Amino acid sequence: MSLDHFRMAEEPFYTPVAGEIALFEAAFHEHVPLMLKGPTGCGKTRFVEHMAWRLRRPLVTIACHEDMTAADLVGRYLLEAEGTVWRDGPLTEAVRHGAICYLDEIVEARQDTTVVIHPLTDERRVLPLDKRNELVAAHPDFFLVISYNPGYQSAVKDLKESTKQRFAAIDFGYAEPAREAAIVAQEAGIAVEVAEKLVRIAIASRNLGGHGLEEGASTRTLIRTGKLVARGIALADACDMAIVAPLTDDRDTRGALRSVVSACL
Amino acid sequence: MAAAMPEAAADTAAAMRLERQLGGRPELAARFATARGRVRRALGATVEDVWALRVRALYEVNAGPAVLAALYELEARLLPGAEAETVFALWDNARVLCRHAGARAALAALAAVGSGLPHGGTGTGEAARLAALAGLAARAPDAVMPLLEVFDELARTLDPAGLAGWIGDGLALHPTDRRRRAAYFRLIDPLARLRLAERAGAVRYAPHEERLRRLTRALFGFEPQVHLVAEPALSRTRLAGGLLLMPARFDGLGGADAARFFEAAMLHAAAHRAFTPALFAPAGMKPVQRALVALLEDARVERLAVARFPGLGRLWRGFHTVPASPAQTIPSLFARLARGLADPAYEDGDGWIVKARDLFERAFAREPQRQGFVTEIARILGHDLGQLRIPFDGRSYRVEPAYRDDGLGLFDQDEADPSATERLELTVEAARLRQEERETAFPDPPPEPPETTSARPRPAPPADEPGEILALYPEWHPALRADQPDHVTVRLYPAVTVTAAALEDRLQASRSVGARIGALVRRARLGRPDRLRRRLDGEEIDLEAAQDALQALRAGVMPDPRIHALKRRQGRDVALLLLLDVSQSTADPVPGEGETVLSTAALSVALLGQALDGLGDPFAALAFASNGRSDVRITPVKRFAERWTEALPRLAALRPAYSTRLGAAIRHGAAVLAPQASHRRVLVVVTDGEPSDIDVEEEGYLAADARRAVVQARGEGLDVFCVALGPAADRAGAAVFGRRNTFGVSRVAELPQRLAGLYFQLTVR
Repeated sequence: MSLDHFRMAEEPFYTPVAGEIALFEAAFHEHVPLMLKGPTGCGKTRFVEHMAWRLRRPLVTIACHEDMTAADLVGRYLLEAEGTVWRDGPLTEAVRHGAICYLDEIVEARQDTTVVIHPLTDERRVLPLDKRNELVAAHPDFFLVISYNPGYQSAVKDLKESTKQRFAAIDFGYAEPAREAAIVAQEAGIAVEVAEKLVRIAIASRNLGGHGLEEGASTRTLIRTGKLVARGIALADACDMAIVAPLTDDRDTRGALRSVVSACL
Repeated sequence: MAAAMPEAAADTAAAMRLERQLGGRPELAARFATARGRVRRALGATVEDVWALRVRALYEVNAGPAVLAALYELEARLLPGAEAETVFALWDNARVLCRHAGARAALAALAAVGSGLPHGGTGTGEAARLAALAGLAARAPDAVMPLLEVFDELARTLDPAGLAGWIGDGLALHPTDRRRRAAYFRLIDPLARLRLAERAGAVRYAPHEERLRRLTRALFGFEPQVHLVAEPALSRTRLAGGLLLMPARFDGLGGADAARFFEAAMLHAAAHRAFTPALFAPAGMKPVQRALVALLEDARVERLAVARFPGLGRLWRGFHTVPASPAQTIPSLFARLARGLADPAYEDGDGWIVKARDLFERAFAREPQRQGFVTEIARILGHDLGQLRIPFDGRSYRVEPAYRDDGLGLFDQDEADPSATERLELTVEAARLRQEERETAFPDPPPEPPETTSARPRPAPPADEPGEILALYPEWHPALRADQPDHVTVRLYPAVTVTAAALEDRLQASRSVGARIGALVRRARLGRPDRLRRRLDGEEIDLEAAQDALQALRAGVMPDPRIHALKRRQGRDVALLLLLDVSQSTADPVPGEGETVLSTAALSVALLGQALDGLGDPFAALAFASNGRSDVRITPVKRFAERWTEALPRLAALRPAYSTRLGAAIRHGAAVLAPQASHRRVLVVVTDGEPSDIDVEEEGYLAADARRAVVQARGEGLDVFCVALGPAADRAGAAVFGRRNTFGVSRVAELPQRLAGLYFQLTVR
């Protein structure tokens, strides 16, 4: 089976913050699995897409969730008219055919699920399918990337130490204000001055991280807001709709955020 | 004259009889005739007789001529506009006052109510206030005179219904004790002031606190430290070091504006903290110059804040409402200058203001960050005011607009010259207020706990500083049947950490108990995973379902698609918060153990904590004690996010002191526990007796409040239980928590095994 439909057709827009492109390429060629750390919406997923395009590899993205089982990753037997047939899971497909496999928000998955990636991340580079009694050797171009948001997981939702230590990590943060404003302006198609106001709101909201908010408004949130503004929605309304209302339901925090928006405009 | 009016024929018995009675006193009779004529002209002859009945009734309770004269005088002012009912109410209530409290009190009441009554008013407010006083006279005649001493303040603050309500509160609070009742009605009792503020519908800061705290953090990156001060002399906020002193009440502030007002005040203070790096030296400055420095500095920091957050300009400008005028008084000039500096569009032709704005603009454009230019301009402007012969009265000066701080906190107090520091002293006084309250209330230092084992390390004595404020909670007053908002201040006192060696030794020694608890834990931990069959998704194929599906396929019917199986551990989902009473009474020795109640409780918590660590239930523990309502002391022993081992040294450091204000502790515990996402949230209070505190004398007051706190916590979906220590404690506990939710441990030595046992009994299905 071909993974061609997992290939990027067009270049995803990405503005590098530092040397992360070179770091990723080095890790890719040396088969060092990679962990992308950073807050929500700072561009981790976009970066992986950009790198998949740049390296011309298909990208298999798996959004992890609490009910995900190992079978959802590696595959399972299905029932057909003539009996059971094995169907590879997305991870197995990526391993067999040499794709970049991106496990988004890996801490959301239960820890006993994530251990199935362990044999892929060390020198062996194999994926055992115990139900099928098969050992799948990884394609030379197979590359494993996980994303990990250190901001909001509790002690319960943390990576196992044995999982953490198998990865090299690149830290992501929000771009510095001027660059973030430029990104927002470019992506949303709005004037830089408007984008600067949005960034000011976002910086203020990030001060509330851990004090009423899990995390402040992300770059992605700002781009969404900007797109609404580009559509002709008034700036204050767009902020309310795309920043204040989604971020929190707490009355006091909402009140504070509304005041922040009105102070920054 | 009577002949001239046809209605005179309607004159009936009451008026005639009264005239006869007054026959021997011509002066009284003449006054009566005048008043009667007035009533007839304004209200008509039919009313006149009813009125005369009331005059007679008052005359007959020995009201004396002065009371009658006072009422005639009130009528003279009212009568063109007032309704008959209002006039009657005045007479009726005056009679009630006379009968119960005497003519002197009635006269004083009439004078108080009538002072400032305009000619031609409707008088309904005055009549209602008099009715409130009459109600008081009927129930507590001794309280009328004390109340009249402060009547002006009451009338200024309260509407008539509020006055009646406030009087009712006083009677409910002190139904029998005359001395304390008099203190209440003289406004000496602090509770009287609180009720007054409450009845006045005071605009309170507390509902806005959390929002503003977050707002300040978002915009400026720090949290404001706000200290509420219920001191009538403080009419503006005041900066005091890192603190912001906030008047408990602002006059003339509508509830609708309150959110914006407090926002403006808080952000103004934050702008000072961000942009006024150094205090001004007040030495050699006249009061007018100091006021100017404060005004200009206010404008400077607001400008700097607006440069960063343009929306703040709109917020602050909204409070500058003073119009341009030719007035050359300090209040007008200063308010207009403040507006001129805040609002570039404002036009004012006054020469002094034009000059001031010009000087400020030029200096600000050159060096906006330099605080010093403010002093230089203030000197010039102050000198000009002197030349203009415009006097400055420091005593009556109020900073406008009201959201701004009073400016005193901008000056270095140590350098202030003593002659002109009267108002500065207030700063210190206000800050000292609570401290003194504490000291007078509790003159002796808390006695040291008896040393039980010489090996136990002595923790450092608690610092005298009051702890950081965690929260304000209401307290239920059973007599008022109402919550007293923001009545109790809960403060954080972090545990002094000591080595936990002694406690660990005792844990080791209690291994047998630990083993028994361990067995309970194993039983509670549902080790065996459940196998969930016939699922749409799953790790493996459910063979039985698969066979059915295949049969169905062969038979040509639609197979059931649910052919997978899943292994799942059904987790326990219980969060526990333990509230540990560490009041002085827990220093009592436990018979035959050589331990105190507290040290036994600490060991029990340690054993339970160990067990829960193995079980994985989220668990937190707080120790509480109280030293009056302004100082309920919370010491976190273990937070939910912490590892158990971090709590042991804190547990070992706990020592008994102060009293038990149970309700506040339960409210705080509920606030900590409620956000936990567990299915069951269990609050367990370990206490050794009835709630008590040094500033509460009323029997049953704190128990009633605690009972209400328990009910409220249950209303939030928490399970609240009490472990009552000591032979008599379970009765007291049952009164608060209910009998079924109280577990008496009469032999405290048994607590270690009992506590864990109780917990599993409560939480294992």
